[in-house]
Amino acid sequence: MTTFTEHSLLPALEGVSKSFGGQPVLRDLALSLAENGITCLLGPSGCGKSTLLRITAGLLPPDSGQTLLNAHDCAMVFQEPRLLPWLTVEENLGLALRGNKNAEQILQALKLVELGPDIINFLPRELSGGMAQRVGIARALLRQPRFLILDEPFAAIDAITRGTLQKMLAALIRAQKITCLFVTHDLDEALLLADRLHVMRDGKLSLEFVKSAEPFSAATVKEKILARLQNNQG
Amino acid sequence: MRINKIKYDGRTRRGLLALLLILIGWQLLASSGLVSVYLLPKPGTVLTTGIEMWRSGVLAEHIRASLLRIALGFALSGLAGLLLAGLTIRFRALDDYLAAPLALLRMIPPLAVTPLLILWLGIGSGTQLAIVILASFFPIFLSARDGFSRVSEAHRELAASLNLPPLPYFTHIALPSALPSIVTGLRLAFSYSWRALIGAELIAAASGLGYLVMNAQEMLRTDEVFVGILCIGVLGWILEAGFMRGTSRLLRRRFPEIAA
Repeated sequence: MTTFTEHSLLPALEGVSKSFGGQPVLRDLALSLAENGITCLLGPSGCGKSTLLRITAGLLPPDSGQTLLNAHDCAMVFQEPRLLPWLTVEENLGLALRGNKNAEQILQALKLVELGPDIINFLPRELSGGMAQRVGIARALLRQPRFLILDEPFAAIDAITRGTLQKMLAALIRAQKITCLFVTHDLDEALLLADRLHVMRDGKLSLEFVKSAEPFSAATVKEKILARLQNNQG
Repeated sequence: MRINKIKYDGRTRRGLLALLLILIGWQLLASSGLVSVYLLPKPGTVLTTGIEMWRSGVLAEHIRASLLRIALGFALSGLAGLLLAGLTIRFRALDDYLAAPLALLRMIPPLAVTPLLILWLGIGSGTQLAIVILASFFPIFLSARDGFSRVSEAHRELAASLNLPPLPYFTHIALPSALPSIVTGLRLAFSYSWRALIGAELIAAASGLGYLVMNAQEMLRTDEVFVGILCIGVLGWILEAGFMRGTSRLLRRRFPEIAA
């Protein structure tokens, strides 16, 4: 049984704007994250979600405004596992330890993502898509981050594996008390995981949903968000 | 797998057949009396001379001299090429400063500077070494610089997100990303430097396979000239094939695209 926790808010972005080639992508954005919870960012492809996420992680400087998170406290999981194909699983994980192998820490991280020690000498091409993404998550966890930032990490994974990984991730985030920003274009995934859900459109964010102790109908929330998105497109 | 094996066997068989036909043609021409044996000795004579030269240690001594020069020169230019490529990628200003002088130097064939090198370094190993370095430096440097500049944006972003220090970044990301280009550059550099070394030994040396050929020609020992020339070809072939097989075996698991 899942118990509800009310999350305090951590300001992450303040007045952030970003343009590419004179085309504004983000306009004067502010974002706060649910502390030790999952903040989901939902929006159609190409709406600037990944740009916002990279600015939050300190990988991209904003044109104006500021990032309030320390980049050293952030770890990132990308859409594709982004494992180096010439390194074994153990070596890929060692990168998070700045190139130093620490077998005990690595095995512990693999255990967290429900992988056994038998794969440490595998190369990424010898792993399934789901296993590779688990290794990508383990690598991020090895940095012992305060903030975990995920860019549509399950988008390229089959539906059955995706369901398993979503549950695993949600349990991990809560157990490890990590503040998480999760970007997705899948409304069902967002509703399943989010403690707070923002929708992004026209370079702006709107808060659409905050998980509360009160029971809620996912179908109603979904309908409301879809209607909002469709009205906007129209 | 089986198809590849058959293709490979067929290729080898046809290659050996071509060599055999050349050998037969050579034997027929040398035996026909159309060409003087002083100009074209029979294959059997060349083989006997080669065995004699090997037994006396003369051939081994010259082979050793050439191999030592190529190994040392290749190692030095490899180190210099990789180091300079890394530095020019890291420090753009250095690349700007060096671009024009290096472009100029690259256009000068190594053998063209041999007279100058003889004046500066004398007729000895120093000149030969310099020739090998000049011949092999540019293919290694240019391919490594190209390789280092091809580190993907995704891998750069990964390194930034992991806050990876410069040394692990170089060893785990930059160098492996550049490896396919570097291997191609090393292969090219080897064939350039082998040819340049032999050329330099023909002009200014007191040992080495090039010197052996030149010396034999001055003594009108055409059979020894043939032994020297064949050694140059066979050794170059063996070394290049060994390099390819060695890199392929070494990189087979982690870099299957290079091994292929």
